[in-house]
Amino acid sequence: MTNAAVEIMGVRKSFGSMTALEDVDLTVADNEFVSLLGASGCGKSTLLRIVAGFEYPTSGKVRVYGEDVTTRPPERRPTNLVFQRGALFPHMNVYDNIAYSLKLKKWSKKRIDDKVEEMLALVRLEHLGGRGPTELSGGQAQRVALARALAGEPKVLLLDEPMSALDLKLRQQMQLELRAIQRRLEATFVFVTHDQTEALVMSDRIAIMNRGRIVQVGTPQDIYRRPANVFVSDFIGQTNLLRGTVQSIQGGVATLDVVGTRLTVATVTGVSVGARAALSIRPEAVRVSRQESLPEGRGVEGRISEIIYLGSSIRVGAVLADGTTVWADLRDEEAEGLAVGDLVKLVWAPAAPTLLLGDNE
Amino acid sequence: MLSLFVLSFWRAKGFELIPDFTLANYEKAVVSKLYRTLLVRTVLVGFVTAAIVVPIAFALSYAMRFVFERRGQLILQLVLLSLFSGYLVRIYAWRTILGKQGLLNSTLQWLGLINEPLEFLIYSNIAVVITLSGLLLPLAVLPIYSALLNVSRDQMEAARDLGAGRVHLIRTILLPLAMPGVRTAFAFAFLLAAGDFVTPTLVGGTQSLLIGNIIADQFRGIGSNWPLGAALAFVTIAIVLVIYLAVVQILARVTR
Amino acid sequence: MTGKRRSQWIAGLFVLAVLTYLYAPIIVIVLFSFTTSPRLSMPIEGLTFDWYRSALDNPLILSALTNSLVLALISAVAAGIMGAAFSFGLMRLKRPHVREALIGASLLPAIVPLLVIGISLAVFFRVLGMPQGLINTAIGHLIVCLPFVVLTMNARLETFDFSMLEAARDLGATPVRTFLDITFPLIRPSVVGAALLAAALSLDEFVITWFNIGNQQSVPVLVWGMMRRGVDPSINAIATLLLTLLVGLVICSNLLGRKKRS
Repeated sequence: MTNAAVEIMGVRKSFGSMTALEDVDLTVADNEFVSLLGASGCGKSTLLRIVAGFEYPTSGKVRVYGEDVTTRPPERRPTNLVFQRGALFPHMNVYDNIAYSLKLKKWSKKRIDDKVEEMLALVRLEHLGGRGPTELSGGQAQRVALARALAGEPKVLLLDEPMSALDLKLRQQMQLELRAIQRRLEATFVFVTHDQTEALVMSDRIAIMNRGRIVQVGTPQDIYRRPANVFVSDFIGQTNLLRGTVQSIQGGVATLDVVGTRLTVATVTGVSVGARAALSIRPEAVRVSRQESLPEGRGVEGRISEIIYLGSSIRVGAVLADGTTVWADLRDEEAEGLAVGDLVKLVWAPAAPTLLLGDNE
Repeated sequence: MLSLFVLSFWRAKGFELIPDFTLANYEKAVVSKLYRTLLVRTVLVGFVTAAIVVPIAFALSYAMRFVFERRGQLILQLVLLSLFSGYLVRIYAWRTILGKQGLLNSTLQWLGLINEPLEFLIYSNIAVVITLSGLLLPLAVLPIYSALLNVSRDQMEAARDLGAGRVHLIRTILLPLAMPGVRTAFAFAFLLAAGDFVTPTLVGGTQSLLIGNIIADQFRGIGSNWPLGAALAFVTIAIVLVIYLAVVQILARVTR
Repeated sequence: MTGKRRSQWIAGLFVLAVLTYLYAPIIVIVLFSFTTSPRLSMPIEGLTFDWYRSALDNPLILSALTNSLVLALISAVAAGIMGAAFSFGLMRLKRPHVREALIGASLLPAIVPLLVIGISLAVFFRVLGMPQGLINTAIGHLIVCLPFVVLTMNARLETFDFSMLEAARDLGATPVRTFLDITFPLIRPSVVGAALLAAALSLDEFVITWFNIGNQQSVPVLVWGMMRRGVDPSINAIATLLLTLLVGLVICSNLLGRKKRS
C-alpha cells in the first residue's frame, strides 16, 4: 500500500469505563475523499480527533503517509482540522487567521502574502482579508476556517462536521464547492458528518460507524444498493424491511417465508436455512399492481393505508397481513386510480431486493 | 474558622491566651441574660431584614426580567453598582438621613408636616433594619435574577396559554423555578444581617446593639476576651444556621 | 395593550423607588460634602470646598491612603492571577458536578459574615504567631475578593471557545505559543476587569481590615474612627473621594468585560 494517506490500524479508545472506539481499521488512499458517517455518539468525531492528535488511542496505530504519528502532538502532524464551529481567532482578522500557521513556519512575508491571497481566491473571499471574524456570516466564517486549515498545505485535511451550523441551501452549495476544491487540489480529505445526503454527495468512499465500530466501507453506490446489514440499510436512505425465515438456498437464490408468502433473493455468504433474515427493498423499486396473480417470489399483498403527495413522486403505503407497512414511491400516472383501502399487489424486479442478516430487530 | 473553633475552648488571662479545654465560655454565652437578649434581637433583626429584602428583590428581579427585558440588564448594573459604593459610607449616610436633626426630620419639619423630630427613626431597631436592607438588597437581587433568567418567556406564555392567571402563574411556575435563587437570597440577607456589627454601632446606638457588637468587642476593645468572643460567634452561627435551615424547609413546603 | 402599558408604569415606579432607596445615601453624602452648614439638615445654606481641605489636612490620611492603595494593588494582582487560573482550570474540567462543587466552594466566603471571617483570620494568624498588620490584612482581602473575581471570570469565560486552543495547536503552535498568541490576548480584558473589581473591593473593605491591621491605618479604618467620634463633614468629603474611586474602578472593570464580547 504505497499510496495510503491515512492508515488507522486496530485503534481502540476508552474514556474511563466507556469504550468510544473498538478495533477500528480504515485506510484512506491518496487524493481520496472519505466520509465518516454515523449518528451522534458513534465515535466518528473521536476517530477524527485521534487522527488530528487531540486524543491518543488506548491501543492501535495511526500512520500518515507511512509515518507513525500515533503519539505525536497535533502541532507536529501533517494534518489540519476544520472545526465544527470554525474556531477562528476573534482577535485576528481574516488575513492573520489564514497566515497563522505560515508565520509559525517562518515563511517570508512575500510568500505568506501570496499564499493567503491564493487561499482567499480558492474560497472566493478575495476582498475580506481585513475583516474581523465577528463581521463574517456563518458560511464565510467556515470558508475562512477551510482556507486557514489548507494554507499550511497539510497532507491530509480533516473536517469535523464543518457545515452542521449552516442552513440547508448554503450547505448544499458548500458541499459542491468543497468537493470541487478537493478535486482541484488533489488533496486527501477525511470528512465527519451525521448527514447521509452530505456523505453521498461528496465522498469517494463512505465509512459508516455504529457504536464505536466501522460497520461498512464502500462507495456511495455500494452502500446504497448493497447495504451490509440492517443498520446500514436503515441509516442510508429509506427502505422497506421484510423480515422472515430462510426456507431454502438453491443455485445462489435464497427463498424466504415472509408473512406466509415466499420471496426469492440473491443469497449472501453466511446465510443458512432456518436463519432469521430480512429483505431490503428501496421504495422507488416497489411497484403497485392490481392484477390478480402475484409474480412468483417477488411480490406481496397489502391494503393501501396511506397516499402521500411528495411533489416529484407519490408515496403509497400498504399494510401487510402482519401489520408491516411497505412503502412504494410512484410517479403520478402510476398512482392514478389508487385509493386508501384498496387491496393491491406490491411487486418488484428480481434484482431489486438485498438479503440482510437479521442482526438486530 | 477551625482555629476560631479551637480557641472557643481556651481561656483568656489578661492579654495572654491559654490553651485549655473548657466549656466556660460557652456556659457564659448561653447563661448570660445580656447575651441572650442580644441573640434574640439579632435573630429578629436578621429575620425581619430578610423578610423585607427578599420580596423586594423578587419583585425587582421580576420587573427587570419580564417587564423591562433588555433594559433590565441596565437596571441590574445600577443595582449592583450601589454594592460598590462604600460600605461604611452607606451606613453613615443613613445616620445622616435618619438622625434627630437629620435630613428626613429636618425636611419634614421644614415642610411643616411634623413639629417635633421623629425620635424612633435613629438609634432604633427600625434604623438598623432600614440600613441593613439597603445594604443587602443588591446581594439578594443577584441570585434571584439569575434564577429568573433560567425561566424562559415560552414557559411563561405556555402557562398563560393553558389558562394560568398572573398570580397563579407566579405561585405555580415562577416561584418553584426561582426557588434556588430565593433560598440563596434569603441566606445572603439573613446570615449577613445577623453577622453585621457596623450598622448597629452607627445607627443603632446603645438601644439596638446586636450580638455582632459584643463579639467584635471581644476581639478589639478594652477588656477583650478572644475565647469568649469565639464561643459567642459559634453559638450565634449555630442558632442562625438552624433557623435558616428551618426557614428553607418551610419555604420548600409552601411552594410545593 | 393598555394593560401592558399600565403594568410597565407600575413596574417603572417600583424600580425607581428601589433605586432611590439604594442611592439616596450616596447622593446625600456627595451633596453634603459641598454644603457650608456643618449640620446635615435642610434647607441647604451654601456651597464650599472647605471640607475637602480639612479632610486632606488630616495627618493620618496620607498613611491611610498609602496603606489602602498597597492593599488594593496586592488584591488586584493576586486575586486577578489566582482567580483567572482557577476559573480557567474550572472550565477545562470535563465533569460538570465536580465543576459545580468547586464553584460553590469558591463562593462560600461570600455568604459567611465578614465579622466571622475577620475574627477567624485574626485568631489563625495569632496562633501562627504572625503580628497584626498589612500582610495579614492583604490575605484577608484576597479571601473576600476571590469569590467575586471567580464569579465574574466564570461569566466571561463561559463564551470562551476552547476549540480555538486546539485549532492553534493543530496549525502548528506549541502549548506555550498557544498561550501567548491566543489564550492570553483573549482573556486579558477579563483578567484586568476582575483585578479592578478586586481593587475596588479591597479599597472598600473594612471589617476584616479592622480585626487584622493592628494599629495601622487604612482609609475605611480612618473613616470609621472619625464616624464613631461624631458628625464631621470632612467624612463626607473623604467618602465622596473614595466613592468616586470605587465607582470609577467598577465601571472600568465592566467596560473591559464588555469589549471582549463584541
